[in-house]
Amino acid sequence: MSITLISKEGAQFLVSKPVADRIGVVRDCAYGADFWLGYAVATDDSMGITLANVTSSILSKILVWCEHYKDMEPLVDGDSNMEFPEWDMAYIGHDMNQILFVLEAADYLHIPGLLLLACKGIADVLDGRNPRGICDLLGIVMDFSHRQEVDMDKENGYWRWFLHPT
Amino acid sequence: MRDVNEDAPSTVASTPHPSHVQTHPPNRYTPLRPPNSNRERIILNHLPTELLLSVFTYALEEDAPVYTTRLRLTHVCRVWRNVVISYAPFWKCLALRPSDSTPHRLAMTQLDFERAKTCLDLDITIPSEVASTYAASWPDAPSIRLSFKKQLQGVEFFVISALDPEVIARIQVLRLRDVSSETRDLIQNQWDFSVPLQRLTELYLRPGWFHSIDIPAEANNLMRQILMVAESLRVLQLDSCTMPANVFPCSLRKLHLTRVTIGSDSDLLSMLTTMRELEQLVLFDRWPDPDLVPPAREDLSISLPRLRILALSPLYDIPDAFLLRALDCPNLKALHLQDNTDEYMPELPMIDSVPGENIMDAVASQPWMLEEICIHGIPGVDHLVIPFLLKHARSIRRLAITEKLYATARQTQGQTPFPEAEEIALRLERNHTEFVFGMTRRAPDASAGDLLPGWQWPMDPADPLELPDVPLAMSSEAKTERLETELRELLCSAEDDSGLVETTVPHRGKGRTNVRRVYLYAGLLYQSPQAINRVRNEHTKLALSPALCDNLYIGKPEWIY
Repeated sequence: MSITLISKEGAQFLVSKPVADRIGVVRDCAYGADFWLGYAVATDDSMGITLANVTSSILSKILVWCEHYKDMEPLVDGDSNMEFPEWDMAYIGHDMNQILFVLEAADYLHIPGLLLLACKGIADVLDGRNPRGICDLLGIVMDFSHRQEVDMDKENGYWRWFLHPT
Repeated sequence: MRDVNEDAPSTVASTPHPSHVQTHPPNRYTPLRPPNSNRERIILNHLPTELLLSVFTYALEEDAPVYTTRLRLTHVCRVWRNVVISYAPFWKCLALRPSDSTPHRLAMTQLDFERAKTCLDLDITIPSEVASTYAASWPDAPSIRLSFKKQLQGVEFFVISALDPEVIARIQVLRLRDVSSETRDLIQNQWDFSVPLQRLTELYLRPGWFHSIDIPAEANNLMRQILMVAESLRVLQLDSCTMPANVFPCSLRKLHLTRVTIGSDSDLLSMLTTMRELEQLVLFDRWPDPDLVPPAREDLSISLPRLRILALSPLYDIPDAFLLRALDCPNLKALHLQDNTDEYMPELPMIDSVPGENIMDAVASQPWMLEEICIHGIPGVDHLVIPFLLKHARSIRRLAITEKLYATARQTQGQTPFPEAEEIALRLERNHTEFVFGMTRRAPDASAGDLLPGWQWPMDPADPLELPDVPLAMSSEAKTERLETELRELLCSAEDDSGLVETTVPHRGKGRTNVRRVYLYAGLLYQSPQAINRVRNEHTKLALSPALCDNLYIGKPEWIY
């Protein structure tokens, strides 16, 4: 059985059942309430499932991950002591824009394993960056309250030496 | 005026990843392409808190012991600061920062304890420091005296903060290792033992390497007092002390004793009979009577229905055979038997060099279905070990044996004698290790501070540093060739003539084995496993293609004690 996925732009992706099973939203759409009865209802793949929030480029990237994990279990939330395989780290890369889009799509499509990988990817890109660098990278505004500013200035006093060791 | 926005020095290695898979940014300070639209900003601004916490959890994975990233994240924006500060698990681990990480250790320690007030379960590590007796031998310079004084102040402040009754009641994990006699006395004076450690479930105690040979009564007394108030202890790791049997709680799930002497009022076997919840029993560096070696008692049966892991080292043939026969633990899955025959530490006494025939007989008589086996150093019993290993060949998931033993098993059983094993660790002989990896043992340099004052290398000049030359049955080249054949079988069988490897996935596809990882380990090699593709150099003599070695590591896997 194959399922057609339609991206935001209308591009069609024909995927096999094991690949589609990795995507929670697609799984729910394809099997519906009868999933628990053990058979599929969406046997006619000509209609396809529209994923209106996912662009073609991100969907194709996500399908690469789903294809890789079609027969294996990815890391899940409980595996906090496990390291992501090297394939995963190479897959997610260090392009923050890409990772953010993958994160958003994985959240929308309900793919927990890919969601965690995207979080790990963001954490790796943040690694070693100072707060201003993080703000510049992510477009975050430093919007601290006055009280927080006072507390932080005190912390900076402790911290300055670490950042500028003599 | 937030100076925290300055860049920190880079510590990223400049060499590319040999396997072309980058687990870290090539240069973490290279400006990335900024968000090209507001879309990315919207994604971040609307990120649910739980996802933000997932990101932060990964970012803080290796933040200890300086905790710089944790502070950095609190200086990004209001939301991030609130999320990081209000999430208790980020503040549950309390450990003193290294003395050279900041001159404001006291203030930062105070800040840590303040923020940890939201944590119901604390993980506290009592810091170790240089004992004043050693410091007295240092050069009498004002800067050194000042440094030492600051170090002691930091330790004292941390210990006093950690032993506050309000904090003690929230300790879930306590680590007390390598403390000096000064810190030990401070703990003894500060600790209010009338406060029960209701939440304490894990305790790791080692009085200090200063006293590893002659444990003072004060240290034993302190550890006994701590154990007496730990009512709900589940994990106990005790090192280098003498302890009466009645202080060990029956609620223990994991018991790990190293160089521990059980008090004369009881013995190990009687103590174990009360611990029916025990899941892991590790007895290491045992000296003969009255240590952790059990007395030979035929009438005893020790029922440990939950026991899954048993590790003994070194081995004493007769008494350990009695222990192994007395054990009634049908759920045992991991067995580690290691004798004290470490060829890399010839200065250690050889306690028991008799063959372990009784031990192997006792093990073979048990109906265990073992999934993890680590056996090495038992002299003269290969003829018993091989049938034992082959008996469990279909159930073994993890196996650690000598390469020589593996070769014998392979010779007996044929290729891949352990087809279900997912991780195999092969211990190499020293000469073979040096040949394969081009390593030689470096003698410690006293002038570089490798040795304590007054020590020399070798420890006893009368003893030769090197083991006596024994005529080898096989040359190093022949052993390496044999090892390569074994590794090819274990890692993958689809390497074609041009060196290309067709990827095979365990449990399916073309792979003949289930092996996910193979380790080569020995005393000279890396302590923690390193992918061989990362560390191989021109001296490495293994003629295996890098693609084939994706799952080959050198170093001892973490599951070997």
